[in-house]
Amino acid sequence: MALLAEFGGRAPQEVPERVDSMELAWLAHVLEQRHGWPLDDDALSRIATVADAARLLEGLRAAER
Amino acid sequence: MKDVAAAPANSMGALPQAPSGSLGPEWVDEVLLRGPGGEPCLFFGADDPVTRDGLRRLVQERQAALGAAGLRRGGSAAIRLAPSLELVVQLLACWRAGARAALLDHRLTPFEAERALERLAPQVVVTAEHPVPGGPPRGHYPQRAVLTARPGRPAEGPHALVQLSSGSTGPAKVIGRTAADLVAELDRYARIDGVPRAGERMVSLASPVHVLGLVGGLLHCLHAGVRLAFPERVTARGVLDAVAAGPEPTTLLGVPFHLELLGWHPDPPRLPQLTGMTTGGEPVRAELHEAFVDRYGVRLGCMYGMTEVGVIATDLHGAHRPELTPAPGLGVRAVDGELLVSAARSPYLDDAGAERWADGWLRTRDGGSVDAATGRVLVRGRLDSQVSVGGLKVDLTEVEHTVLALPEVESAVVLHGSVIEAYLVLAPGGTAARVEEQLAGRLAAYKRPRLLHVLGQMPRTATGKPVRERSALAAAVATTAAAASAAASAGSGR
Repeated sequence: MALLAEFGGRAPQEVPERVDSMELAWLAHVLEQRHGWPLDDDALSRIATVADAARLLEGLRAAER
Repeated sequence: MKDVAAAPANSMGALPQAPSGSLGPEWVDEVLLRGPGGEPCLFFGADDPVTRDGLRRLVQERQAALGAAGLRRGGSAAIRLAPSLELVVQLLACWRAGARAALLDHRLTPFEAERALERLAPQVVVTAEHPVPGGPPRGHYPQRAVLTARPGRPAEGPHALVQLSSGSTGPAKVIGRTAADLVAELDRYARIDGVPRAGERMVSLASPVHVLGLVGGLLHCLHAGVRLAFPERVTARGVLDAVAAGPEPTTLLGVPFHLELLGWHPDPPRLPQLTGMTTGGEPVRAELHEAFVDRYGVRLGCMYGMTEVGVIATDLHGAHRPELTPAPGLGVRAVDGELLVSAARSPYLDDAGAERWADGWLRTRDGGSVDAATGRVLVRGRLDSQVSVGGLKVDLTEVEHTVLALPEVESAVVLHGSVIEAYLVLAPGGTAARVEEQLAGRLAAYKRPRLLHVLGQMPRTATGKPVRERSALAAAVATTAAAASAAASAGSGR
């Protein structure tokens, strides 16, 4: 949620549940640049909501451990 | 049509002369496809470049297939494909057949697309065999075309291109442009200082379905001998990789969202071939402009235009921000704070929007002024409810009408803050989830409200109209939440 809120400088409560393509571009960028997690479009195309994004991040963290 | 001699010398043919009427289909070969056969002209990500010979062959093949599907000279087609080589060749093939092509955005819902097709009544519809997968935006998509013949109507008039624009009072405006209109716009581009020239390169992030990416990108590049590249992925890295892929002086074409995206790169590589970027669609905030110029050290130019006319005014070197210089051959004036642009005839094919044109002038619905001494234009913003979402025009009135038309909704107000938001009172039995579901079928994702605020009661003015002030609506949201919380407490206390 905090990562998505950074897009457009929003408060977390202003982040809509549904994730749009621009927010996906932002997520792809942040995950690649800051965390070194390159994501393929297949993984990103499965993200439609904030909850989907949270699940993906959990999976990436678990894989890193 | 402008003086042919005014166009700069390049490897392409001179622009044909035509009166205000139509050009024959040979304009496609003469203006767009002419050039050395082995010369690469289009680049789609990592795919092999498309040469002029290759492009001509593909266009001829698609023209034959369209003919087999029943498309004739004077006929009509609608193309609903994502940005792709297939979109380019289908469009050029329609025009080369002497038919009218309507371009529909691939992001429209099936409901919106069907409504558009009912209105346009094309004889052949070109769609993609498979829908575009979700995910972040891409510069181009794999597309395989499916042609469907329909009992439509032939083109009624000389128009080559038809596009729909969001309607502020209900129905979308149907905008028609003739081949001569498009050629005249190409002539304007050829005469604007700062536009890429023969031997240079453009990396376009703007969709070729809409006027900036179509005429300012695709058609200008084909006409002027500029190599046009579409990046694989529209991320900062993807865009910069596309710039680095060729040694030629390279210009980026996009909308302000792409500036933000490029600004995310913490340490962009030095790319000596990058000469600048041009944006359209909406004005660029001063801090965004400065951040881009600081980070990349190249010029950032701005274009102002509209679907009906194409490019109207530019400041491609960022020399007069926020003012723009009218494009050569176009007149711009301000009347009662609204900008008007010269247009020989109404661009609208039916009654929707017709009142905006009179006596050779088209009302832009943009507020602004024209400096009497310099002739430069200052655009102040929309006078109606149109907003820009990632460079795409969305009319909030159309969104609000769609929300209000749902049986689950009693009243609604739609506003645009950082995203499109709907404040609504549900009808008995309605739920927010059901409203979301219904809207997903009726509005393309970029037009849909991202936030739904359900109110117990709509705040209204003394005359009964819904209040549109954000603070009053936010207070109504808080009141509704407090009432729900109190009801829940009372329920749990029993």
